Amino acid sequence: MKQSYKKIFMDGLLHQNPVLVQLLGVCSILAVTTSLENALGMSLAVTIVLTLSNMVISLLRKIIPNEVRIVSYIVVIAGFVTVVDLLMQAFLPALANSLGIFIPLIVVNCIILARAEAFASKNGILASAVDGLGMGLGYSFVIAFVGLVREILGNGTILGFEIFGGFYQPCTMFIMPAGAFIVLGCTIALYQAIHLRMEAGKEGKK
Amino acid sequence: MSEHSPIPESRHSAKKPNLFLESIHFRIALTLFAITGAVALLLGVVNGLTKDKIAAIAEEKAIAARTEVMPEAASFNDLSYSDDVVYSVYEARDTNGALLGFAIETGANGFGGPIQEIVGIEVGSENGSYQLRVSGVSILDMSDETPGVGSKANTSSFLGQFVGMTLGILTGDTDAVSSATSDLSYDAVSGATYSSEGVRAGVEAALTIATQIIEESGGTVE
Amino acid sequence: MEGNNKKPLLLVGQSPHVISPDNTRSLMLDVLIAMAPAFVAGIYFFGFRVLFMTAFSVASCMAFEYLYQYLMKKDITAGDLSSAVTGVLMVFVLPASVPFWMVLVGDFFAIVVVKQLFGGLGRNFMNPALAGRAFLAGWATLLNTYPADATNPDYVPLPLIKNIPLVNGQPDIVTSATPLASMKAGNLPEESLLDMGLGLESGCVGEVSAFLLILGGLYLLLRKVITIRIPLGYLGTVAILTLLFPPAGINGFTWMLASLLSGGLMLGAFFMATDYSTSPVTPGAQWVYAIGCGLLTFVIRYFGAYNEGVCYSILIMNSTVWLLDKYIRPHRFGSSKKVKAEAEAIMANIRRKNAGGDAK
Repeated sequence: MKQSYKKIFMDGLLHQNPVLVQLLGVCSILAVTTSLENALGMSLAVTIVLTLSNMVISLLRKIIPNEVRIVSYIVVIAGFVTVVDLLMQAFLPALANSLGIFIPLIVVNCIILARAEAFASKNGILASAVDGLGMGLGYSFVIAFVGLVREILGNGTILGFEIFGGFYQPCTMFIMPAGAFIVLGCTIALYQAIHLRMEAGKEGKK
Repeated sequence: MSEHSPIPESRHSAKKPNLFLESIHFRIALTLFAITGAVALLLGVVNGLTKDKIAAIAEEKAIAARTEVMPEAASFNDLSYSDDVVYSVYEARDTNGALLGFAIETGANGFGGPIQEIVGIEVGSENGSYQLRVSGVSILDMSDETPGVGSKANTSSFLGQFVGMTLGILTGDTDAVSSATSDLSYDAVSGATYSSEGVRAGVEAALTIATQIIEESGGTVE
Repeated sequence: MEGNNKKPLLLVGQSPHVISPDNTRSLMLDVLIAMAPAFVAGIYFFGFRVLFMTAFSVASCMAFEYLYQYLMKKDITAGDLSSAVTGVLMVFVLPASVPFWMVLVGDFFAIVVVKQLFGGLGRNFMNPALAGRAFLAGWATLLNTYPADATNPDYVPLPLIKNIPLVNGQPDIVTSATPLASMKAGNLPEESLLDMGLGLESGCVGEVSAFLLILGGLYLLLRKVITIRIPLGYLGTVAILTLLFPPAGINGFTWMLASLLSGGLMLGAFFMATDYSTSPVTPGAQWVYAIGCGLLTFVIRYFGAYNEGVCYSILIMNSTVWLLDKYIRPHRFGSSKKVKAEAEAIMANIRRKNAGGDAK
């Protein structure tokens, strides 16, 4: 069962990408990607919580009785999320304000619980940390991409800077939830298309 | 039916307390207690480290909002008044302690929910009576309005039209939320009637409460 | 027999022997013909810009369909005129003052995303033109500006091809309030009922002339392109609900007529809700669908934030069609309760006779 750290990391980033392949954590992506800045802030918070909680749960995996493992995981995750929330409110108040309620909602982000249950409870601390980092970065790339597309098309800006110089009429549909679904769906389709083409290429070479 | 050998009395009493300590229930209880205890400790520490900073940031933000609509004020006094629409009322006084006006936070319903705004009201006195005029409106939170549509009410051109208005000017014929803008005493944002109305209602509530306060302390408002 | 050119007395071939001359193209031609009167009215009321917009829209729709099918190596069906119908409808649901690029974007979304990505003609689950219109709601200010029509004293003709310059994000034109805007506020519109029926009002290009749209609808009914069920169910529901619940102080009957003649209701009831691939197949389901559309239109017009409820109510009901088709099925011949009961009785009789025979 022991996998190389590189494989664990690449799985999280690409092959088993939590959003594009496992379709987890979609709610936060739809809600928070109205601007690139929000998306990046969210991805930072999620990656930190994911890595830390993976490590702690891996540390405690032999101690936590099977009957109460989900409860314990949630307590640990909620603890880390609250810490991140408090630190953000104190040191990054503008970001905390725009992310609003979605920081506490990281507790129920499926990715974190899923990785705790599927990986951290069965693997060593370092492997779990690598998995957390890989999954977190995989999530971050997707959320940043979606945030970038939505901000460009829906606002005409990147990180608040106008890029089209006034003549582009922003389509606010992309800032609204409908646009979020459309962009995410297209991103998944794009990934699948590239993935299938790569797989077909590998098959052809064999 | 087979007989089972009776367990000696002494072994009975020796086993019972150990049975519990070794049981799964105890282990569960102990682990949960330990984990929640450790997490609570961590949260307590972080909270202690950050709570002052967070409170300071919130207060800074509130003062900045009030100063934006009443720039000449040197100090603000909380009058501890609130109701459904008016969230807080602050007296604005200058360096000599004279009353400059009010900074009133309101939340009237827009399209999706309450629009939190802060309304600055200047108090001028002339011929023995007072005139209350809007000195500025600043939106604190209108996240429930439709982005790109209702959020257009958060522009200086829309908010700026309230500057200088008195309660008399503001309360024109505003019964009907009509899109024929000639009916209204102000220009709503086209396509964002509900959001515009929410902002306007907040300003009206602020002017009304300011009038009430002045009149309660014996002054007359024209 | 062989050798002479006499027509054979008997044609021998495989069944089916009853052949209808209908194909997709002829159906779509009928729809285009039905829309023609409203189209001419649109040009009359809003200027020749409408002509250019429609031509542009039809050309882009057909081009998008052709390009998509060519690039994706599918059969080219762009000649069946279904995209042309979408092109015309796309313009009909927009005000005449929208820029040409907006029509292009709407066409792209309608043809490529809503129709082709889901499998092409017959496989889409949402009405393409309406879904395109819903997507264009992202440019809300452009969409909510209705130019004054030709009968308005302040009328200024719109530029034929150039886009209208924007001031503060809004087109710089003479606008006029639509009847629905007054009705949203609870008042009868300023225009008389006759004016509203003829089209002397401001609104989207194809929706203003209710009478001409009804005329087109009658043509479609006569040519058996659509059945009466959906339009009747839709209009009937809206009529009953608006008759029963007029705003305070307004005569119910007048309010009902105003509601029927205003906005995109006639356009939606005859041309949008009846689209084959997005409406149910079975009669019972069609009634439920039509009544649902009417109910939702009523609710959105009365309680929702928009003035017009037709677009979103049809789209919502489109999303339920799979459910309606699944659960509202026609009865099999002979499967009604009465027939079943009779059959049971006969079987019981037979069983008794056999049992009695055995016992002996």
